[in-house]
Amino acid sequence: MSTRIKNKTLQSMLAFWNEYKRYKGGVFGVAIILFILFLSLFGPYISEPNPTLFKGTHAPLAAPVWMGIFDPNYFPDQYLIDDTFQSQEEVNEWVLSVTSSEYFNASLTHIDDGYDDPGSLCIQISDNVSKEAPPGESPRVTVSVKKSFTWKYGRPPNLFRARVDFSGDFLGDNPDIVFAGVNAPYTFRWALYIGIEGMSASELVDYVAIRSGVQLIYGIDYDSHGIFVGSIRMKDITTTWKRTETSMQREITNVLFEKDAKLYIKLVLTYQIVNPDLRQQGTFRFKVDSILNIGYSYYYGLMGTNEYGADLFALIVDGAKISLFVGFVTALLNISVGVFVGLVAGYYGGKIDEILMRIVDFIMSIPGLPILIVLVFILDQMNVSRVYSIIIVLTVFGWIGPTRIIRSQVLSIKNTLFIEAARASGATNLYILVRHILPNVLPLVFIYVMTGVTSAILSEASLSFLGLGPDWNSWGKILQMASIGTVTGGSGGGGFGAWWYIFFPGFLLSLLGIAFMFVSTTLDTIFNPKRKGR
Amino acid sequence: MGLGKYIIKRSITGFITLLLVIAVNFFLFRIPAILFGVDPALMYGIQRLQNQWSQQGRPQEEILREIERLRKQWGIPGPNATFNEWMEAFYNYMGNMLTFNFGESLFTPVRPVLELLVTRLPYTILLLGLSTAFSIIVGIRLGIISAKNYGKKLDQTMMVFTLAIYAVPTFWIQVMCLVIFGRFLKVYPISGGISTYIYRDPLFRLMDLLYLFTLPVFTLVFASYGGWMFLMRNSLSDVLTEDYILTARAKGLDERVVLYKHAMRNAMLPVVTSIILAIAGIWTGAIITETVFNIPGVGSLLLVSVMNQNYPLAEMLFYFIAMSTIVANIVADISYALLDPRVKYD
Repeated sequence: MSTRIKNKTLQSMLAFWNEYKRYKGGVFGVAIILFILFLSLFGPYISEPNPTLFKGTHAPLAAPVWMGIFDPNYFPDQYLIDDTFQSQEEVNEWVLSVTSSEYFNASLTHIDDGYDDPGSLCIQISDNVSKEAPPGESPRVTVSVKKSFTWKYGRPPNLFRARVDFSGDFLGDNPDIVFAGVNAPYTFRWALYIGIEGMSASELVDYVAIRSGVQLIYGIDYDSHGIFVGSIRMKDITTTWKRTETSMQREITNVLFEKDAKLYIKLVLTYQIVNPDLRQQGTFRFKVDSILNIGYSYYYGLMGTNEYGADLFALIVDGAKISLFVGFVTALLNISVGVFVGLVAGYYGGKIDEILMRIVDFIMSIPGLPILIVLVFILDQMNVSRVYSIIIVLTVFGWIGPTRIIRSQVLSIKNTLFIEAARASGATNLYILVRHILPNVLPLVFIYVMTGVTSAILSEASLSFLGLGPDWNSWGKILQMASIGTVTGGSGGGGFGAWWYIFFPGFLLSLLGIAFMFVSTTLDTIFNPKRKGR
Repeated sequence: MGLGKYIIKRSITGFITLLLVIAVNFFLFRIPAILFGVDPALMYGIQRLQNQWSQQGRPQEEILREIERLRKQWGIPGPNATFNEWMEAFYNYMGNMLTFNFGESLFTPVRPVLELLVTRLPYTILLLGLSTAFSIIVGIRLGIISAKNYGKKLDQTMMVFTLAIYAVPTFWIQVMCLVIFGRFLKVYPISGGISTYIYRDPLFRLMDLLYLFTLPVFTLVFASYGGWMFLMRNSLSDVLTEDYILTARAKGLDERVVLYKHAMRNAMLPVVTSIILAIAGIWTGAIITETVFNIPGVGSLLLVSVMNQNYPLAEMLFYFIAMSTIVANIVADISYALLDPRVKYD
């Protein structure tokens, strides 16, 4: 390829790269930085966008998936029941049972209405209005649908979660009366139960109590169906679609989900007449768009999950973006102030230099972390958003680094011959500063940015680790959440042996720091030839 | 000028800086009050104390008297204070700071703040004293080895290795070690802390304390020996290129003599100044370590005081930190002047 590259800048950049390539460390560093940049830009498309530390979609403290190799009992997330009822066949898998009643007719059917997808399971109840209820009695009917599944694995699930989308309506003359609330003719509630096939509810409660020590109170009504699934009990039905989600206590699921256990999920609807005068002719419909029961695995994701079940890989990708953002913004601010102050102090000298250097010495003599902490605290009192506080605080102490370097460089160039020549031919100070001195200072700027970014990222990580950072997912904050458990033995990661929670954020911080360090060492060697050999 | 005059001049400069620091301290913590009109009483929790006391049923004049006394002590004038009142508070404050009269803690207004500091000081000094000492020893030793083999393979590998370790955040290494040794190997108490209630015998308590300190000291040394190593290496390799070293070698002196008797004396100069400055940094440096390992030292006291908004405590700590840095700088400058006859004091 013998095409000549005409553009001079491009040519010099290529020549620079050829020189740079020779240093393996530098190339390694650039590769890492580019990788993390890539991760921060494209990461949200690979994993979920906008993760939050405190709410997750998966099991808590799950190990990374590749750790499953070592586990003979490994199983992936089990979607034990995942019905969206888009067809009649799905509805048919559920077994209906109705307590016999002269007042009500109940049936199970499939309808097309749905919440987020067409099709729902529908329990229809119609009231025999003509049948008079004896005074003082409140007739009712209990309708339940049940589906069984088998747990095939030797280990109970990490977490058992249930989710149901439901709503109700009334086909008749006066649906508003039925759903009126306080003065409605009927009350209708539903609950979700779980149980072991072949065991009655009282046997189940004893079974669970003996094996786990958890004493349950079963059923709220006279028919016992099983154990309540989490908090899905006495759910009210309205005409708007609702989604309810819950998870079950680990002690109970550990007992229920034995190897090859046959379990069932039962959805029980209770329908009762409370105001006999207001009984309506028509059909009450309880619609269930989807029922989801998941037995979560102990393994998830590339890097596991935290104590709330949030995917750590998504959090780390988010953190990459934040770290790079903080690092570069702070470094750029520092360098801007530093170049300005350094040029002025170095070039004009005299009193200004004296004063500026005194300020620099003063700030430098105060130890870093304590004053950062105090400043963040003060800014908090003034209700400054933590995001701005961090950047302000890091800049207030960061500008001195580049200032000193640039000032000494300016001092060494200031009295060279070509500056004198320029001055002799009538150049103004500003012209000399911008056209002659600045270009000679730029390599230093470049080198500084590399070290400046690392120190900014590490300082931000330290502050976040101590709890003084903003409410974002920076790697330091992830480490803070991870270590809270370790230190106080509470709900964090380390105390439970969730090493991935601690390892990955810190490892990436170190990697980034090392990468920038290699790059800056290489640049230093290139631009300061006197360091090359000795 | 002579050495004596230099010492005096340097001390005066230091003292002026100290006054400046006190002023900054005063205004920094009262910025919300001065600039934004936030009532200082609210910030300092005086309102809360007032409510607490009136709930406890103390008589009103007594409460007001107490509050007046606390206000004077902490240097916060009342709301809508005039400029003169602020200035008066400032002068009082300056006097208090200089005479080490720091007042009482915000949350237990009986115990002076100084007491809180003093009870925690030994732990921090022990922790950081040990780790600084070991870092220096290890760093200097490795720095000498590195400088002797400057540019060769050994030096290069050591440099890369040490640089990599130096770039790793300290708190991460500490938390990892805590998890490894505490949770997986179970040889270390994972919640850290000083277990003073277990042992009565002072010898056992000391041994328990030292055992507790092994991990923090080890991680601190591991993370910071790099700084000392670079310093020693650069300084020593610069000195080794000097002519007089060449002369000494040419004279046929043993390499060890050349190194320790001639080269080190000159190379140690920047190291000594750094050591003095590091001694000042002793009680400021351990904030993160003390938090991770749950050691009740001065560093964690600063963090706790800031988190709890315990202003008097935070002000005092900040003052001490700045003061020790200034004193250390003065001592370092003077000792540099003493050690190096080439330095001109001007």
